[in-house]
Amino acid sequence: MKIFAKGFNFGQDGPGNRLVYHLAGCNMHCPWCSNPEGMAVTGGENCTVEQIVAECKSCLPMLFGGGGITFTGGEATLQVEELLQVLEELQEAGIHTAIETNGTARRLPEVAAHVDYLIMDFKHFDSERLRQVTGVGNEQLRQNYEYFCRSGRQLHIRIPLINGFNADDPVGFASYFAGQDTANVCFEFLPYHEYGKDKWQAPYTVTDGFVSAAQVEAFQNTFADYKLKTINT
Amino acid sequence: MFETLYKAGELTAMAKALYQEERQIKRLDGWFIAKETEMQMDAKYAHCAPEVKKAHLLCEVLQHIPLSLSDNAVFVGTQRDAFAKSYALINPSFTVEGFSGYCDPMAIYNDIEPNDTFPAERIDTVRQFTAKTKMVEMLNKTYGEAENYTKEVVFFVEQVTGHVIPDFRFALKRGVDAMIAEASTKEGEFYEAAAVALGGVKVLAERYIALIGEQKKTCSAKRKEQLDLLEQTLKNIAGKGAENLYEAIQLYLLLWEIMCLEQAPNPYAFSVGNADRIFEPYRKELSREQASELFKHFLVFYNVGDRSWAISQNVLISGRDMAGNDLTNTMSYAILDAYYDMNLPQPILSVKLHKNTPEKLYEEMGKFFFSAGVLTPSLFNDDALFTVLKNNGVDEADIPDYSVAGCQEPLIMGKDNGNTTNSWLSLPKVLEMVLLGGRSAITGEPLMETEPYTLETLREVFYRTLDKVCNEMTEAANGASVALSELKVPFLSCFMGGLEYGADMRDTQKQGTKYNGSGCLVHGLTVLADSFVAIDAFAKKYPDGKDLLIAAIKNNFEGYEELREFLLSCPKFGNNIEAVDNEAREIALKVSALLRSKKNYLGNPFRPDFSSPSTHLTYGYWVGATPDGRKSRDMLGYGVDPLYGEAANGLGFRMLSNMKLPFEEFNGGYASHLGIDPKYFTGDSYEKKGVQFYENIVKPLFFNAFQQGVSPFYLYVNVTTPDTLRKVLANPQKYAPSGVYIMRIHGTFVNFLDLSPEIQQDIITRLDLKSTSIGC
Repeated sequence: MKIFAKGFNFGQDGPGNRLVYHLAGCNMHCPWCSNPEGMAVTGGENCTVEQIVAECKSCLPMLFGGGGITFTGGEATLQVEELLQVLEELQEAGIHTAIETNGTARRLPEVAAHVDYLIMDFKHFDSERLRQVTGVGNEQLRQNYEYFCRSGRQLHIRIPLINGFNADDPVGFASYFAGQDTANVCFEFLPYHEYGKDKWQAPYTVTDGFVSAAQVEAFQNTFADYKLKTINT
Repeated sequence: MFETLYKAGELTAMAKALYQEERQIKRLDGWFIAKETEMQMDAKYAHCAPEVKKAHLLCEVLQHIPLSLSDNAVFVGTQRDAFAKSYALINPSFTVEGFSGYCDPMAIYNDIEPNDTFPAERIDTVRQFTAKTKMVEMLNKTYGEAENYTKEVVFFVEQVTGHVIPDFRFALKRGVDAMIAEASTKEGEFYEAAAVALGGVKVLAERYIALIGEQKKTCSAKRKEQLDLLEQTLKNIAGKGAENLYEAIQLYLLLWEIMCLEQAPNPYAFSVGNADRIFEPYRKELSREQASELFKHFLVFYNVGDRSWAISQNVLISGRDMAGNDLTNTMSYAILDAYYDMNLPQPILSVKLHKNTPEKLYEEMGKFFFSAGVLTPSLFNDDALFTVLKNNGVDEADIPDYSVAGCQEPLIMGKDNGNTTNSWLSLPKVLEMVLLGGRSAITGEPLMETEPYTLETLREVFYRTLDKVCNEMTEAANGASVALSELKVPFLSCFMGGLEYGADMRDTQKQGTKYNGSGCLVHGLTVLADSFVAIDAFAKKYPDGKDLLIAAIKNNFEGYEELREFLLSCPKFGNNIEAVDNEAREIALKVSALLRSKKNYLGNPFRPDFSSPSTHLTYGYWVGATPDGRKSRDMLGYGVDPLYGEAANGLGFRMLSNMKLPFEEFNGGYASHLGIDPKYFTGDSYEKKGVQFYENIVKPLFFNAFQQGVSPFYLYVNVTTPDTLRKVLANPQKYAPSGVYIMRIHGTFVNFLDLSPEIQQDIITRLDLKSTSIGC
């Protein structure tokens, strides 16, 4: 398993205090990415499944507050075979698991079966627009969303709000989401930031990505109108 | 009654004005007058036994020291006449390379600038007198014999003044008359000295009463009422003890003033102990707010001169008893209120915690941790420390009374002379001695004889060498203690068990306190652990590479950059890596056992104390390049913490590594600092943030169900970022309009703006964002 960063955080990527592994490689290339160093599949440190599991177990004292292990990226599901192995072993050891994914993997439902807390990005309801900016459309993403809604499992959807890309059409998002059973789904808006800007080696192309308070509020209000549950982590 | 004399807020305004007056004081000459008085009166008491002579000399000082009383003062008393402007860290002229310790008893005479009142000849007369005292002669001999070890700090020793916690509770309750009466019924020179010294309380009280009488002639009617109360209080308490909080604080301060004058000019690091438990019985019907206002004057007393020179004085609150009951009381909260509102550089606040500490206490601490530039309490874990103390022979009845001498060394109030900073050991310098055959990597000078070694035998040779160094160190340290015993402290000894044991607490033949030991501050634990692990990896890669490694170290890795990269890439403590964390644990176990096997002047064990009060900088300056890749003269790791820059995976991994250390061994104490970035605490009130601080920092570190063995028991934090501090330095008017921006360094508060630039930089450096990150 190739890992380009790891560390603890509290409540940001799943419940409680979590050890978060950033897995190398991503199928999307979002121009606002805050971890651009994780885009290449070739980057990062190579660890065996045994090493990862042993490390997670040694971190038990720090997985407090209902915490556990979160795999993110890059895109964690690009290393699906090893990810599945690690998740299975962690679940066997009684350690809480989470992944944060861009939701575009075909085998995501298989992975999600071993995940206690599932976080899925949903960057745009318009497939062409998404493909145009990130290189990947949303067909599989939608399939996965609809599958998870049908299955009734917990799902945490994150929408990065990027001015000029997706921040002006809350109804487009809400009307799509509300078409499914969202009893166990919560939604979170992540306003654009530039924390990762300095890490870009290629030119950083987003020029006017910040969203206004009004834009965020419009999303909150619209989602409330559609009876969609929103959270803030 | 004071509560009818002062309306709400008035005492606070006076306390703040009093502090501002204190900050204006640039000269501290009282200590010199005290020493001069002792010199002038020396012949008068030449016929007395040494303890008795000292007691008389103390009373002479109390008779002659000039007194003053500000219109803003609610109590009489000052520490100002006991301290010199000499404490290195807050001295703007401090530099890492210029630091030579604060142990030279003559250096103090360089700190007083001659002027018309104190011309050079007057200063020189006292200097000459002091230079001829037996104590100075003995100390010089000790230093002379150990010079090869101390000049580049293989180890260092010093005579320990201050650094205990007097127990004034009996005196507050019953008055010093009862103590004098007790001393008078017993025979022996110590008891004679005790009775004389305790009589000093009345001497000083009567002088203050006379001063008040003078001031009453010219003051306003309102001030006269205040002075009437003060006068009456002094008459009541000097002999008979205190009835209420006002009287208790006044008597406490009077005793403290005398205790410090007895040790002028360096009574550093005396601590109060659990002030909440000491004063709560006297609070009676006073509200939290009233008690808090009064306590603000108590706090101001501990600040001396323009930089609050009397440093490392600790006030503790809260904690538990042996049965696990929480002992937080109204006075605990009143004290917190006083601290927060005053935000002074002294005295230090420490909070004792345990698994049943009420959430309210964490809520109330939130405002300390999350207000920029406000002091933060250091934190002690009673649950763990009780075990450590019990394992080291402290009686159960005494354990809840543990307090903190100076920064973080746990001692029992009124019963324990831990001689805490007696010896100082640099593990990486000992490694350097082994690696380079006893020659300094810094100067090339031969400092000691060592054994031959191979990379395979290095560890065993290291530990044998360390044993030899520790023998030399403890002998020198004991020499310093014996020298210091020439300076008797009969007054203090009365509050340390002297009336029971019949001996001065510094006596080296007869133990004058219930508990006794000597401290050793161990430096460079994590640099040594990283170095051993790097040497193992090096030996695997270059089985015959010893000469290569030595050449690289001698050349400070210049020309050996590739090798240095390799060494730097080896596992480092602070990242939850088993091999190196276990190495650190092993070293700590071995060094602790070794130190405990060495005996002090009374035959009691040395106590390992893994702390480095800024000496990680000064001792690092004398250590050449180390096999972990650290360059020559760089700092060592602070206390038990990873070396700056090495814990690159954030706070969580740092805490995991830290938790593997053998805390049960650290009965002398240890130091650990976490830089905390406030952005990770998102509660919408100070109270909520305080609870988050408990949930995310205190609980996992101190009260972790997965902890094996004794949990960590000490922590101090700075909740800020390097960027914030740089802004404060660049624009103090904007970020610290009061001129005070409190930070923690080692166990003490400091006004960040008062620090020397090198210490300011150290604080910034150790807030290293990578190692403090709790976000990913």
